[in-house]
Amino acid sequence: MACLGMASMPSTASANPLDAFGFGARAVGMGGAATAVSTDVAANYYNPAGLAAGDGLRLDLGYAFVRPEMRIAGGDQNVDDSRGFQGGVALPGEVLGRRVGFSLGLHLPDERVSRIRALPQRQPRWVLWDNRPQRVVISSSLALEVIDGLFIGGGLTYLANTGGTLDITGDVGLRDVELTRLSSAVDVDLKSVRYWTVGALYRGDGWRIGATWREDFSLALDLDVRVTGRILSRPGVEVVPEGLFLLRSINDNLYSPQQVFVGAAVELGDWLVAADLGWLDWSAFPSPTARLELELELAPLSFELPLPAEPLDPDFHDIFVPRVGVEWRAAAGEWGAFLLRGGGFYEPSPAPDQPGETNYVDGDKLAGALGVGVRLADPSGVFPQPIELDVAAQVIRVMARTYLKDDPADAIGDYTADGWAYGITAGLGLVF
Amino acid sequence: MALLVTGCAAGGDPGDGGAGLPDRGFGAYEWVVDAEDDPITIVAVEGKRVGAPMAVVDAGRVVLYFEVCADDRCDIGRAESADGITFGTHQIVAPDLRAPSVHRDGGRWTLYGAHADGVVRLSSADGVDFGARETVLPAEGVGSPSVVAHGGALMLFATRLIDGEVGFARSIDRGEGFGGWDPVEIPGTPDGWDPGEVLDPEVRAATTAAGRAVLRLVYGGGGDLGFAASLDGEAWSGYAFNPALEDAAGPSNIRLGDRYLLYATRRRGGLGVAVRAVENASERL
Repeated sequence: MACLGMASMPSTASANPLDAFGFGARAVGMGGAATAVSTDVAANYYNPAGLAAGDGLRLDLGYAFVRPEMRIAGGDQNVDDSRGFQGGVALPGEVLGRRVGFSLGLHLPDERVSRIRALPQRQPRWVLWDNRPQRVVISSSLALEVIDGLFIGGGLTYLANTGGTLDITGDVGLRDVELTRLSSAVDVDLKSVRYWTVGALYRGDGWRIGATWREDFSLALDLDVRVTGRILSRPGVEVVPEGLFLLRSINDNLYSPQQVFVGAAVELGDWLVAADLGWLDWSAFPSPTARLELELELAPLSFELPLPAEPLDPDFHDIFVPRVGVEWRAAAGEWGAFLLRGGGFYEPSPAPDQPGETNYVDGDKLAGALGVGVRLADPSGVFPQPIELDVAAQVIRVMARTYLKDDPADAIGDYTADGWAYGITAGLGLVF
Repeated sequence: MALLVTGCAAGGDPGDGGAGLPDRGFGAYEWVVDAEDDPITIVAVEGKRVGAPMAVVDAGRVVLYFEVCADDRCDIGRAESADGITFGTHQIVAPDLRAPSVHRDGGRWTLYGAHADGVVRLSSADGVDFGARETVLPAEGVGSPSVVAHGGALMLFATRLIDGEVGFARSIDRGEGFGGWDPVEIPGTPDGWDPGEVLDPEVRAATTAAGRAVLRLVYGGGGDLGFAASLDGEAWSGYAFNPALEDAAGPSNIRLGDRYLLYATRRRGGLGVAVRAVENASERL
């Protein structure tokens, strides 16, 4: 009990693997500057409006792998890899003379559906990297062309809140273990939670602009432990006739901030140049520390439980994220096409310095990406459109950051933190 | 979904997202024990009391200075160890002196100790053969001096009798010799360890994992040992999870590789050593 009171369990929690590492090899290879570019399954994330601007029924299959190497005071934190299937289907078509599109997109980690790790508030952790990539993403989107060249779209992403109760009832023998009789019941409730992604896209002659709004998201993990019963000194002799211990942990996890991205792209001959600018509302980041409520009634005995410390406000701030990308059609012919891509982004850290008890570690991120794409015409004619093969590699540098503590006797003390992340994403697109 | 709930570790446990976390060596120490689970004796001198250790790491070896006492007289002994636990034969390097504190400046070894007349200083090129002593701070009732260089000055921390009670004080030498005494307060931690006294203080200059100079104090009180730290030697802050070691006195704290070693006098007498072995020792001592 004292441990629980001291730990004041927090969880590391934020964003999702797509925010962190992108969705689809083409977009990753262009540094994530895809708000005005995506028309494939990746548009579920980047801009659902693009789904109505696609070329035909398509199936995207891919795999993404990212290995972070994150250090605190020179010690590798063993932040888990992010890896899993990425793909889905997109169904563009026409209704009443207007283009429409529907899509289902998936990021399915192959290690775990999700992870919620509760850590003490003071324990250093890479707050945007620990749990962030460790969750499934399932999105479904709908898009339509409202006027010539103007598309709008919206989508929902799903996950499940978790709430549970553990009830333990019975008798507890004060000195004689044989008097202890307890029974337990577990009640776990998974409630779906949804958040919106809404976008617009306008395609002109050789240029396009887009905008996307993503709703904030937080996954709740609420756990109740209730112990009720009697405490006996001897058979039939009650020391405590109606004892009660209640522990409630209320936990926000996997937080993803509200965000708005605007993007533009221009076609210059064989070149496609794209740029995005995003605003991420990190100032609304709730404390990732679990709130604990404790209650103990052992009348007529008198006990006092240590009150759990109130979680401190993480005090994150909003950030703006620029992304740029280019795609060059290096070669093209009846056989298909060969594309080269490059891009990058700069994401300042939303986390403030950590001079006090908390240790939410994060740093500015500078990323570079390279990609290739091959479009191969199918001579058999099974696929009317070329088969699309895309591969992208990205490197993210998390800039070194120094943390100085106000208290010279702080348990963790001063430290520096930095890191790298290396990723590769590959995809196969089949257009029917 | 997997839910991991931590234990009480100050930093975190490996496997619970706590792998490779920086560790300053302020947490709990464990005695190195023998087969009967008793703390081992690292240095013993037949018929004499051994205490007040002061450890120095020199070329990867631990050099330990300590009191060797019989009746009312104490000498300063010296022994070496490669692993910080098993020490060779000792030798007396400074007779008639108590409570050694060794300060190294370049290649020079300066040994400070407590004498009836105050704090004296001896100098050596090898840490073994010390020259003539000089009194650097005449004062009665001074004990457990600990000298450290910080901020361009030498700071001497010691216990001394103030109005008949043992207090903790500091004297500074900015190149013109040590001056007067300033009392030093070590605040207790809320709901934590507050022995109300500072005994056998040892102050060391350290460098944090971010490269900031800090002074760290290990001291006794109430029969246990705890840590405190300061940026300037004047304002101190106690470690929130004290005590670090129970039933001990006269501490000296060093780091040897990824282990922090805490030498101390055990409650039943004799010198023992307690260890805090960590994955990422982050503070340079």
